[in-house]
Amino acid sequence: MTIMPIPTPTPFKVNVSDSLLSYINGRVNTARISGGGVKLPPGREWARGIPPDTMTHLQEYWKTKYDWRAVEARINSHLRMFTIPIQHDKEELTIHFVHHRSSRDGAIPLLFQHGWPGNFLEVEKIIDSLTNPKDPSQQAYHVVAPSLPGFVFSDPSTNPNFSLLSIASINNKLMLYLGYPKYIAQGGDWGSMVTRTMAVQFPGSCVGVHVNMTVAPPPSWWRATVVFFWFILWAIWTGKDKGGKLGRMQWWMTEESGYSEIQGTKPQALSYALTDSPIGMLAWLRDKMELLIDDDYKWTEEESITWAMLYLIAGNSGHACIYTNFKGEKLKMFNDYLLNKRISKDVDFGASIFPKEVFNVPRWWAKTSIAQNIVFWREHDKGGHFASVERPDVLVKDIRDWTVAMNPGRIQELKKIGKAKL
Amino acid sequence: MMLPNDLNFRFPKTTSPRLFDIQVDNAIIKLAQRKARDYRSSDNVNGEWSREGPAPKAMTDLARYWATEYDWKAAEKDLNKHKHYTTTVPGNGNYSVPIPLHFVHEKSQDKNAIPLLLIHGWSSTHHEWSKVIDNLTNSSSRGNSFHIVAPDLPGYGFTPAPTQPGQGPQEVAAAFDALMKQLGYEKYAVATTDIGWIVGMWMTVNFRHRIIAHYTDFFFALPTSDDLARYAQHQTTQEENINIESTQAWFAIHSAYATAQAQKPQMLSVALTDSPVGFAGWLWDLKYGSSDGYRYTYDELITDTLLMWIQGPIGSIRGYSLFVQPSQMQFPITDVPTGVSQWGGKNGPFSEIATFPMPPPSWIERYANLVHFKRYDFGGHWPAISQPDLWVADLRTFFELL
Repeated sequence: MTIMPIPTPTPFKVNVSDSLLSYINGRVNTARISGGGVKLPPGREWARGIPPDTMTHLQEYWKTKYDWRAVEARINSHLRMFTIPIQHDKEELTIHFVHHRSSRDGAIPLLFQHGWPGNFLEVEKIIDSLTNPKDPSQQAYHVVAPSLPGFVFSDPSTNPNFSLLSIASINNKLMLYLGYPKYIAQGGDWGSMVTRTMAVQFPGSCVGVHVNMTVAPPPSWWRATVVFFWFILWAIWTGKDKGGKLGRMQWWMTEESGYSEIQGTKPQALSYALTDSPIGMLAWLRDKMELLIDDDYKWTEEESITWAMLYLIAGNSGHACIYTNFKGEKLKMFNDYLLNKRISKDVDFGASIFPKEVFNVPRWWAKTSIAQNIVFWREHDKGGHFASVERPDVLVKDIRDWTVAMNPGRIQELKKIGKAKL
Repeated sequence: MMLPNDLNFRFPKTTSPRLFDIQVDNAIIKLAQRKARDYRSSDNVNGEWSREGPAPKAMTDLARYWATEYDWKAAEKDLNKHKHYTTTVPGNGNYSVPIPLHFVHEKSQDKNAIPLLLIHGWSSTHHEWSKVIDNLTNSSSRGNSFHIVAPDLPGYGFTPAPTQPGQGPQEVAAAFDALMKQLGYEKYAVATTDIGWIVGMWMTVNFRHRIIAHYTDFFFALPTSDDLARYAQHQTTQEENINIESTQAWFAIHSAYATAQAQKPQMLSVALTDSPVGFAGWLWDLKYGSSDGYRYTYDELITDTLLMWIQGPIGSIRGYSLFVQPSQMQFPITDVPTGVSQWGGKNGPFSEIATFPMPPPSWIERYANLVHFKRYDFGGHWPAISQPDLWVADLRTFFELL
């Protein structure tokens, strides 16, 4: 029997070719934006999507002020990145990831998983305080932040059955190959569902999960009758309130879910326009970014354009395809391997609830449907979907407070693993 | 560059019907061609046509043809073989400013021919009727002949998009009625398809006294919650089951373009406005799945795309959010004689929607006075293109009954 050697990471630097960069810039400079004539009333400019005025402004910024090479240099100087080939289901995928080792005593390994329309840069604002807390008595972390397969610098899978189960397995292998047979994980958006899948599938390795988005099916009457009736009452009381959790979820499903529907069923039909039109890609992402933040955060032009650039570089529908997990047979599988399962008591679960997130459930619902062992639960007055971008300090504090609440035995094991020479 | 009020084609402003030739500005045609030349292909993992969208190679081939061989001038000349007019009708309902319209108007040699208004739907234009107009006006054909009025819906083809919110299907219905009045047609019939059917239905409701008859190749009677309850109890007929199941398949797999268009037209249309090839792919996906295997030429695909792209797709896509609303699809029943044909997709690539939509006559009768019903298992969603002679024959059969 041959033992497969463990794959080793190769250092990676972002380096978009001159020809692709000048192609993108050329397309931006000559982009056609049509106003369409109809001006929506004040306060409702975004009701039908990102307004033409905003697009013209962003195009102007992209043409005259945006400097990709400067952004690229900053990413390369701040983030230590790698790629590694990982085998899954007869396929070898190159996985891109950020990896920062902490120099602090007792640092523990933490996987941070981004979502859509995000990317690995969502770790930028939190990675330094995670690895190097100002206060030396605070918990430090070795941070691993992979790009989801199909996103940016991670290969897409050609397997039509590729699912969050596949991603969970790949991420688990990644941590193992990096020398972390036990670790904890944090995620929002798709990252929240990937990390939860990791905890369900690999509870011996993924011994802690923290999320800032909670997707869960309603409690089922046959499994938790009392909770089910609470759910019905709660739904009735809070249903109409768009500011409340259920109302916000319903608003998202009925008025904002089109992008999820089209990406889940026809990502290729959509992709030809997005790949061929940089400002089209920008509009597609930026629209969704706008409504999910709280009102004390403003996306900068540079952030918006950089996020679009990252999705443009690969030039395919890979990012959109993750939404196929919400449809058809793959949704049935998703129910089986995650949504109808509860994370076991061997995993320390934590959640941060931000009001402008669209998928938030109350703690009693989460206890029935998501995780048996909730060691940390914090509800905030402000904040939205992109916690690591909007409120990095708040998220880092929540991560620390969650870690402090974890099972001490597990923490000791994690520290031992974190200490091992790689 | 931003072109807020630029139609990119000649549109004589007039308050009564004026004959003109379609003349698209060369600049916009050249822009499309340059973008086709510079088209950046999407390196998708799925190399074949599938439910998820066109094959990458099909898109690159289309782009190459567009950049090197496609001839808009020839297409324009072909469009101009019918008579085109512009006019303006007053605003109405929730839409307070005047409504400019473009339409084709062809009269039959028979003075007593029936005036017939043809209303196209999504991703189509007046051009959908190009193969049937001459047959319909021909007075030496057996059966009725017709004076044809074929407008573009606002935002499509050469009818300018609305400039204010509020122009829903009822406003468009009233505008088209005003058009027929301007043309001197006190009473007229309507033939519709796709979302044009929504407009036609509102005409039968709001202008009952002027509508002789309504013929449609797309009567969109969805299952009601009662129907679904009966289905759950195994109390529905085989015919109903076939329709319910294909409807479910449609909404589960194929209808997301409509959701995206209806919810966020501005979010979607940025990419489609800036990438004519991408827009062609978006439309081609729908054609591929729903046209019963009809083999569109590159010329047809590109011309259809350009007709939607020239003034910018936002106008037509935005209308979606106003048309495809449950409140706009609740029609009080009238006694207008209604003829319905249904055209299936047995030769199409996706068997789950080969019978979508095929509501039983009993469902249609909930909403209309059904006097003619004919179901074909072929023909697809645009039968006036794929089966023009049969479509006309079926329409004539309906009118014989009146």
